[in-house]
Amino acid sequence: MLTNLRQNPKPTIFLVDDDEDDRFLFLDAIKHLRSEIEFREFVDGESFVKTLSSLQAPPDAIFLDLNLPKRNGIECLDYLRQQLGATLTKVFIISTSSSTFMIEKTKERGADFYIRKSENFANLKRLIQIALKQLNAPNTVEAVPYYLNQLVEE
Amino acid sequence: MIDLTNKAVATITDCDQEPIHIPGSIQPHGYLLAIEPGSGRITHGSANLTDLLGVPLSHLLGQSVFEVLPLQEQLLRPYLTLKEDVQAKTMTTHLGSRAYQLALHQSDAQVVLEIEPLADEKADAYLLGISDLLDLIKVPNSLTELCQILAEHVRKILEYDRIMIYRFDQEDYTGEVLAESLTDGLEPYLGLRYPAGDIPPQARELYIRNPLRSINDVSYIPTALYTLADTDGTARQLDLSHAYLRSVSPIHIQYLKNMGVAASLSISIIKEDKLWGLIACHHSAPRHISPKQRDSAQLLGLLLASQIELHQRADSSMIIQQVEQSLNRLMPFLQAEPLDLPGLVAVPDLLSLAGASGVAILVDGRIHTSGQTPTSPELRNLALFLAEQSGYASFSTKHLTQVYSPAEAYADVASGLIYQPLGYVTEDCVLWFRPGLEQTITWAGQPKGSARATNAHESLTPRSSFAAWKETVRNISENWHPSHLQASEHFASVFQKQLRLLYLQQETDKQRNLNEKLKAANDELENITWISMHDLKEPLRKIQILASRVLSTEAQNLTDSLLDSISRMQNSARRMQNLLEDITAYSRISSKTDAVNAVDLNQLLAEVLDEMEDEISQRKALITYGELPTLKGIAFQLKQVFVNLISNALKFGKPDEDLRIQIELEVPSAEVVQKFSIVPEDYLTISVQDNGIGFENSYTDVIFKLFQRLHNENNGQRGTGVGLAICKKVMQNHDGYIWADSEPNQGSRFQLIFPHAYVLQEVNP
Repeated sequence: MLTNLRQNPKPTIFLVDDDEDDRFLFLDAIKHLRSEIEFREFVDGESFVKTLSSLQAPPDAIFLDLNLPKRNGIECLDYLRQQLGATLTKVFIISTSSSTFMIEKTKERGADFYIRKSENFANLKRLIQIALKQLNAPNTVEAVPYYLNQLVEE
Repeated sequence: MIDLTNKAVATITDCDQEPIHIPGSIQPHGYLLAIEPGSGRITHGSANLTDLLGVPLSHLLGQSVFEVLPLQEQLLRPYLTLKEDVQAKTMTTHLGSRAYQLALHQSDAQVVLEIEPLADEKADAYLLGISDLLDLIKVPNSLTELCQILAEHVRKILEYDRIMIYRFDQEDYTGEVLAESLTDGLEPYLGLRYPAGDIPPQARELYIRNPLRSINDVSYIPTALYTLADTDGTARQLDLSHAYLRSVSPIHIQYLKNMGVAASLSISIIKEDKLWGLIACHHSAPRHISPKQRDSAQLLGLLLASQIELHQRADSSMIIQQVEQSLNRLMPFLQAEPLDLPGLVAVPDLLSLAGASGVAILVDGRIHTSGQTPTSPELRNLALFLAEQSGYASFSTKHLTQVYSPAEAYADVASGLIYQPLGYVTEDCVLWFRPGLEQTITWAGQPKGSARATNAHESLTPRSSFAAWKETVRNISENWHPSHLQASEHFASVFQKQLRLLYLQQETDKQRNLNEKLKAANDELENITWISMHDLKEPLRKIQILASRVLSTEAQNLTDSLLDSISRMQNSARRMQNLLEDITAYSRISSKTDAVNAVDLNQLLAEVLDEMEDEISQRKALITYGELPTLKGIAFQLKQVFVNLISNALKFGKPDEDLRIQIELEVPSAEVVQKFSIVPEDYLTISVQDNGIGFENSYTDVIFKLFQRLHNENNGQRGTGVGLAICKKVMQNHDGYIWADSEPNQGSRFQLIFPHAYVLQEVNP
């Protein structure tokens, strides 16, 4: 983990979520984990897509809510996968839903991991911590499941 | 010997009650005897028999008639047997040198013998010929014409001054002179109307029973009837209804005298057992007619009666044709769907079928009218009155104010009424109206009380003025023709049938609508459940995560009591989340849209136990089970049943005892068979029995209701009270039942009762 972070001392992280509380909690959790982060928030799919298209360097990670106004998460996912191509950017789906259908669907559409929004702050921190570990890591290094919540005792 | 003369002074007020059939006296131009058949004993006799037979009446009474009239024994004997009643019979005989007519008829147990001297036949007497009769049948083109010709004939036969054909109104029994034949110089009565009271009901009744009456001389002094007292000293009256010689009411005599009549004869015209009219014959001097004359007149009366129907039918053929056309044109409107009442009522044929000028249809509290009718509130009251008064039978009148005085207010539009109810429950009906005609009735003398009292002490006498008296009325309509009444009835019956059909159809539509609404409501509810579950869970998650954030990151800054409160809030939020999840699960079960497959319960149970292994081993529970069948069912629902039952058993085990759960295939218990009224052979039971804390058996129904809980769980956690409700729902989805019996500390036994029809593979024996 340390190795990875050293390679990228100040990762850029995008969060796309219309829910203000969730954004607050996410930022709070990530600050507890690491302060040197380039962090940008988007409240809808539209503004996220616009920003992404005018960007010079892609972010290291995108945390994408599925239930979004204007452009929903799946549309954003399709767009950013097409836009970013085979970059190293990791896409994390974050959603209240834990339905198998949605998990399978997002995986097919090119998301890297899936996080169900937790009821527990400690779990949230754990999940983000696991997520950050995956940045810049080759997909094959560790056997990390697609559905990250499986690693967290709830 | 007792004089039977009825001495009760008849007064006009009791005119209606006057016992005119038992006057106890006769007219003096003949003689009357009443005889006991068989013995021939004379029971009654008229006082003037003494003059005829030269023997005191006291000697005659009690004697045999054969001894009194020995020469007539042969003639009379056949009619005085006990064997059968005597049909009216006349014959002629001689008593001494004079010819007499003997007339016999039955009156109660006696035979009445009337003896009348035969008047000498005049050589030039007019005799009714067959050609006259043929003319009467063939010539007249209308009823009025027939009556006119007939009146002429009767006058020629009887040689009376005045012959009137008099017709009764079948509704109010006033009489009208339809035809008249009279001697020159007499004042014509043609067209005059007579009040119904002139011929009171019991007189009309008598006219039906005895179709010919005559008064030969209105100035006659009645001859009393005598009888011998019975053994108990009483005298029996003799019913003279059918006697030619019957003495008539003094009021009637006075009435005739007032009209200037000295002799009268009347012949009843009877049609369909009703008194249609009279041939009334008046003469200004006393007059005796021969039996031949009498018979001829009576024959003409019968002829008239037989021709009425024919002429009426001819008169009404136009009306009948119109009415039928109207009905035919109306039928398509009745069969139209939907039934358009405002349209129907506006069809002119609805008026013309009854020859009405206004019509109102009252259905379901709505009123549709056409033409001239009373106002809606007036119609409502009228319909209510008619329904109550008629007992939902049809009714018609030309004089509505007579039965319903509020109709005076609208007599100009609705004096004539046909009422056809539509059914027996509501005031629904069809009403046809005719206006009251401003018409002039020419009364024969002032009506309104056919007699007058000059002062209170004087006995009442009939009116003396017969001068034509004109009255203008405006609350009587034209008579309803029988065809109109029939057509209205026909229309109403078809209409009523259509309404009933329509009502049934509306009910069906209503039902269908309701079903659709119910389905829509169910769909919406399901949708709402799903949406609200999702939207409710989100804020709950926030509460929980924020609380856990405070507890994990800010704990050192907060007091213990604050931390405790936050922790309780967190617990409540978790509990609510559990509830929401369970309700979601329950409503998912309720929707019953899941795929039905073959479910091997052995395999299913193995999966359940595998998934629950941690809890089971934690509770040190021993679970045993026998072989189970394969059912047709919804796998995940059945799985939920076993999960819920086993986790219940795990929750409510006794703390100081190892928990044992036993799952077996059984037959339904007697209690279950009775409770659900099932045929035990058609069902199987899978029982889940534990040795836990159990519950009061009286709660056995309650525990399957949503949100019902009996205990807090051992670890202090509260269940949601949804688990067993889900089990019940699942069993219902499989057309089965669930039942539990238990006693506190005796464990519980749950029965899952499945229909055999759902079994795909039985358990090997």
